[in-house]
Amino acid sequence: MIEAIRSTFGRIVSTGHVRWSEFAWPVLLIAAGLLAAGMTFVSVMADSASNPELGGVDYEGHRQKLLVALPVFFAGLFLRPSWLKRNAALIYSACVVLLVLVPFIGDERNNARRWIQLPKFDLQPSELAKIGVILMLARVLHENPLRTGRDWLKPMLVTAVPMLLVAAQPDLGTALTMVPVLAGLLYLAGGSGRALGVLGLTAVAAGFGIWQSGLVQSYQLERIETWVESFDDRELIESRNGLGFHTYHARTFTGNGGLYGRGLGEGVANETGLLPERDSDSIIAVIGEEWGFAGTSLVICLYGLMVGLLMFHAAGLRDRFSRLVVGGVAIYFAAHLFINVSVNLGLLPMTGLTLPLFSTGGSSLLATFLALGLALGLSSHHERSLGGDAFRRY
Amino acid sequence: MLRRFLPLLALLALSVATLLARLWDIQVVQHDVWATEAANIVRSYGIEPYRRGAILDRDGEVIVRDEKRYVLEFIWRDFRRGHPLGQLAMLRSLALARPVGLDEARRSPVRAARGYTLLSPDDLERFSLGGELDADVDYVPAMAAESESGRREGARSARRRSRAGDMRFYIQRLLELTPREVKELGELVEEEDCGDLSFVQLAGLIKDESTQDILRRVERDVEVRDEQLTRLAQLVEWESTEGPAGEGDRLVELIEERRRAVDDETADALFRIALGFSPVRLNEANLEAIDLSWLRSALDWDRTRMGEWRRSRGTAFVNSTRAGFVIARSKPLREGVRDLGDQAAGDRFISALAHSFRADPSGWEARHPMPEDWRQVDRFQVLDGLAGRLAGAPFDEAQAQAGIFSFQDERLRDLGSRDEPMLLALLGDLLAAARPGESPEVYAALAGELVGLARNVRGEWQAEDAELVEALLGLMHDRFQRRVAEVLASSAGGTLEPGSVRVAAPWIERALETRRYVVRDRGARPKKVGQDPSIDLVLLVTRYREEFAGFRARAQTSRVAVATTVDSEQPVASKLIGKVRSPFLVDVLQQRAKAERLIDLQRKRRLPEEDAAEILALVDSTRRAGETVGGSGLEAWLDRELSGKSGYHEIQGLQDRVEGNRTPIYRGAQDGLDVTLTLDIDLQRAAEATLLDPGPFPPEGHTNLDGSTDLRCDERWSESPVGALVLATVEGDVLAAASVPIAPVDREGLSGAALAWLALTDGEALKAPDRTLTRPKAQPPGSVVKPLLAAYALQHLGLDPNEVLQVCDDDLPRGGTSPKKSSFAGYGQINCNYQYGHQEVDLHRALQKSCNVYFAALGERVYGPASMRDAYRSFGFGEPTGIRFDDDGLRSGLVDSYRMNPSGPLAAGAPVEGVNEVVRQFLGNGLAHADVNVMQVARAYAGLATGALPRMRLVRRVGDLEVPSERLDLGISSEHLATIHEALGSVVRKYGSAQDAWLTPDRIGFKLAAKTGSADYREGAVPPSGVPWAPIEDYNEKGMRKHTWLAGWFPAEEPRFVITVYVHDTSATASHSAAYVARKFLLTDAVQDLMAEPVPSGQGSAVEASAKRGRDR
Repeated sequence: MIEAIRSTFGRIVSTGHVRWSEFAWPVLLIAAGLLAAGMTFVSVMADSASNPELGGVDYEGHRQKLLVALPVFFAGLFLRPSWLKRNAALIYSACVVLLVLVPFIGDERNNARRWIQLPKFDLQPSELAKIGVILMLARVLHENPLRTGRDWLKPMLVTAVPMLLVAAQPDLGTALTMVPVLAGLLYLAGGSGRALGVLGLTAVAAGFGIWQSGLVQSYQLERIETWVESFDDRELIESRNGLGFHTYHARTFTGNGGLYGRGLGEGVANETGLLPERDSDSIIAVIGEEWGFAGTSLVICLYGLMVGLLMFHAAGLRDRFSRLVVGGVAIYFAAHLFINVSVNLGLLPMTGLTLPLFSTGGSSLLATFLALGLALGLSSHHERSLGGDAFRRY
Repeated sequence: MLRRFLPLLALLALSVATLLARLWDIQVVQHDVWATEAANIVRSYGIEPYRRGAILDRDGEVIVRDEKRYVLEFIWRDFRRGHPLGQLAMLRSLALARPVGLDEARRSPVRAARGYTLLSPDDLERFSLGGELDADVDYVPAMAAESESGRREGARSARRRSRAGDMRFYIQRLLELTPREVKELGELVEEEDCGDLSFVQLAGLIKDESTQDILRRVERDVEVRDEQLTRLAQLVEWESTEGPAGEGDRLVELIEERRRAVDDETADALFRIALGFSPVRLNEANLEAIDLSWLRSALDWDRTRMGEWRRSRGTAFVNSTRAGFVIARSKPLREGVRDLGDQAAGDRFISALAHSFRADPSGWEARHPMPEDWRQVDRFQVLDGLAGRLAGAPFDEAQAQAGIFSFQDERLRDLGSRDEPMLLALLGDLLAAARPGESPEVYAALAGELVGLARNVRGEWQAEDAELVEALLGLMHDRFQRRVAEVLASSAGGTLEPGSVRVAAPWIERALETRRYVVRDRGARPKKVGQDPSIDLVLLVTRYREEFAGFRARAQTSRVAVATTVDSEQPVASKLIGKVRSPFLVDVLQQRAKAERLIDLQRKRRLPEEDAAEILALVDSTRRAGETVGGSGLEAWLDRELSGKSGYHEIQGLQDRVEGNRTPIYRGAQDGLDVTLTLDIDLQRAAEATLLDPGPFPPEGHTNLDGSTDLRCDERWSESPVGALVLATVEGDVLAAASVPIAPVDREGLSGAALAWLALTDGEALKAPDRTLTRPKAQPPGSVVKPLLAAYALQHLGLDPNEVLQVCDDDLPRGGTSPKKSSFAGYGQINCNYQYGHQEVDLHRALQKSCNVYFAALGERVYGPASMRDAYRSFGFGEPTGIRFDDDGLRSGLVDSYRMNPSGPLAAGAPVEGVNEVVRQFLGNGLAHADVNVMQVARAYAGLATGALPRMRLVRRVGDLEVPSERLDLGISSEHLATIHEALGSVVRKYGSAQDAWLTPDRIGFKLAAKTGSADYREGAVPPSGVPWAPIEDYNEKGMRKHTWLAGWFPAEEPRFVITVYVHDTSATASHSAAYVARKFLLTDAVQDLMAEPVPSGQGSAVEASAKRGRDR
């Protein structure tokens, strides 16, 4: 019996196959550094004078969630690529099922149903779905030459199903993060750049058409108008108590940081606690205020470096599935970085999206750790493979 | 394969570069902007209210002052969380999905508390999924559905989960669980699987007590807290006796009313979020057409409650407040001419009307002190922005914005403004509808009134103005609602049925998203339930805050009358002291631009000195919330001295402190100056008490000198007296200045007999102006002017006091220029006051008897036109009394009716030849052509008593600054004064005209020199001769009613004080009315004590002083 379990377990995970000499240590180091920085900020927020009054930032809870997520990192690290490849559809299906269940068993907060209540923390299936989509796309694309329309349709459908389910929660921000993952993986899988460009332009034109047709809800238009107006600082200041509340505070605290920042824990965002979601979606504004341009640009550059290194490692992988997964994870981190920071800097309309490794939130941590573990594991987990790309010259 | 990654890496690099560039832009380039904003977020400002100066009497005793008073407030959020009654009302409302009022919840609180605490978490869970709920007192059946999923869907739309969550919260509050115990309860339910245990059992497990003990404690607590509520209610001073009999029930009824108001406001807020405008902008029919089932469900209201809310909101637009806003907005700017301040009045009025309907009125008001020019107003509230808010058929924007009002007519817009004609062109149809069937002249007059209303910078509007504007607004509102109905109907697909117009789902969602915050916010707003609660009540709710959760005593500054008049909360001399008021609406509206400027300055990152100074100047010139200003009387006259300056301080955040951007502004509050009056509280009170109850007439035990009873007095005047009394020092310091009625009389409260009498009077008995300085009606001085004219004639016209000017006998033909046949003795047009005449009279006897014939002859023969005018003027008639000191034309509040009748011969600028012989006959007797106020008569007598005419002084000191006292030498020799004094001393003695009034030293304790006076006022009802107590039916309606006076000084030989009594509209002569009032006052303790006061050193006989001045000259 024990042997059977060991055997089954052995088919799923393996520590022996990780080549530590080829392990992406710089990525791990950067990720650990960013995580430590994030933990420090959350800790300072929890200790700020405004916290007891305005509540919300729970460092202890964050630490506990991190401890829960850590095994997930290692699980991802030691999962066998072959098992992953075989069971990608299963994992994806599980994610879709969870998404389907959300409307029925999910907990409703602020008129949105995104969470499933678990004993220790609430699970947000849409976060896990992103990983599921990466795995499934890699599975679908690893033997897909993307030559015919049908070849293109399959990965699109794979992405569209969870995207629509997430958008219906409603959580348009999270749903849209799947778009760059899809586009990036299609490209990495050999999709024609021209075709992707045409697709992108078509999407933009369709979006513009929908906007012009009046099908867009007026509140969504209002959000876009607020965003456009937010480029003018006076307009943004005028709308500070209305629709521009969040954007205004994110901009104010970021701008208040100046070149060198106000010092850790010395920011007005922490002093007042007025910045919504300052420990999750808007943590970059707090970093911006307290570390200034110097510190924040370092964080962004390190983040970019981590993504770049992941891509570099992915590029060196012979196994197409692994390469696509690692590449997908890199795009996942890149998309989160770009969207999150852009939203807080006003480059994109306000939408709720975490900054992985920095933001609190159990599901986000879980997904981040799983993604990072998978990427690091797969990038150093050289199993013998006879896949399509195994004999290609690079 | 790297080939495929390279473009992605390049894209990544580009993205990072974009982010860094934007970061640089915000953090480095725009740093100043955002650093300023950040500093403002943590910077706050405080306004420290000043204390308005007190008003003190001559001895420094406080009459009125600012005091901290308490207001009892009710906070529904605290009550529902902390009081069992609130908790039970909430629990039952949540369970039954209808509002259960506090009164209903109070009927069976113990049973309800037991029923709900015996529920288990599993019961609530079942309820949340659509199952039944049995809480003993309330039973909610399971939701009817064909399948489990259908039931769950039904439960979801009925918000059962959310309601169950709230019910759990209130049950836990009812059980008084601490946060830690609540957490433990949650763990017991979730981890120990104890969800089937009742909340009481769970509380028992947590607290380690038996279930029965906990249940008993909850029940006892419910009872005790209810008793405490009754105890609180017993301490409330109820203004009315209406409502339930028990105090507890009345309090619950009151707070239930407040709770309903909170609910209404919550509904308003949610409606506004979803629809973008206030529900009061729609009438009831249009409100009913909109599907508001989401709102009903969000508030757990039933249809009845929803209907009540709709009714109250649907009729709220056109009310006096709204009319008041239009009028206030139509007034020109008080300070300078900016924006539309230079518009013509008619333009301003139309603009103010248009503003009431325009889109985003508050947005405009925040930026501009005046409404936008009506020519620019085309988009209207409700119709503007409704397009995106409705679900259903496409919204017809053109239909919504097509012309509705006449001011949208392009041709009219091109016309210049011509006030009334323009108003008629624009509002003609509305005016005609508001006042149907009138002539064009009437409409033009109405338009003129509206223009006048808009022109009037000072003062507020009258009820009839508001009525007219309300009618116009109502008609515009109706017209507007018809258009709204058309637009809604087209959106609903053609016909407008109740609930047929649906709001687009995202807007409902947006409203529902904020539901919790709105409920919390509105519930947390205090509602006033009582003013000036007793100190016991304040202590109760302050010390035992938890027991009286939901009640709060809040201190606020009030203007308090410390020295009150008889049986009233009004201060003594209330009409002279006046009242404070809130700033006029026009001031509040027009200072918004200043408030905006203040905010702009406060938000600046760096603050140069000139900006700091401007901040303080703006703080000084804008009224803070709750600040009072002088509204009338001395409170208004001395408003700038009584008002102080608010303190101001800036509280800086860490950022300002670290960066040292700006020097924090701090200025302490500067209290207003205290004002010390010349009035004496005791004397003033005595004067008011005397006037309020002047009778009985004649005084008890009184007989005439011949032993007969006085049958010529006026009983009815003493029952509803109208008159005034002034007591002053001969130096002009007013010690008492009282008039009645003290407060306006409500016709509603009068008996039938009183109303019957009132119908025969001039109606003054209902009104309460100050009558010591003002002169509501014609007010000739009558015979009290005789000594003054005599003194003038002795000094300036060579009158021989021993000469007999005319024989006063009814047997003799009447002399003078205009003789007439009469059975009365008389001279020319003037009858003598004694039918048979006084025979041969010299000056002394003429004054003693008040002989009209003598003074008619004096006026005609001795006086000429110029000298007669000069005589009146020299004694201060036609001139200000001096009470309104420091008059720079900007002060208001004190009204001194000193001018003569502008169409009379004594008016300033009237031709001197108008004072002809006949006029002089009248003026010699103080009749018909002269108008004086009571203070002027007191002043003239102070002059006559001392030979020097003082400026009357009501205010002795403002702060530390003494108000100067001035006296003007009349230039009358002491010898002539002595002649007059001797004659006036004899008036109250035997053979004098007031011999029967008991004003002799043996009756009042000191010698009084005085003169009585009566002047015909109007033809009216008088009692039959000799029957003062006759019923009204027996009155002679063709009789003559009079004003009567008594003016004099005391002590007679060494004048120190002057007294003037004025009796308005009486059938009796002065000796039988004013003399009795004077006697009653002079006998009061206050006057007797005054006479007992030692004479201040250096103050000898005024006549001696006058004689000395004469010698000096």
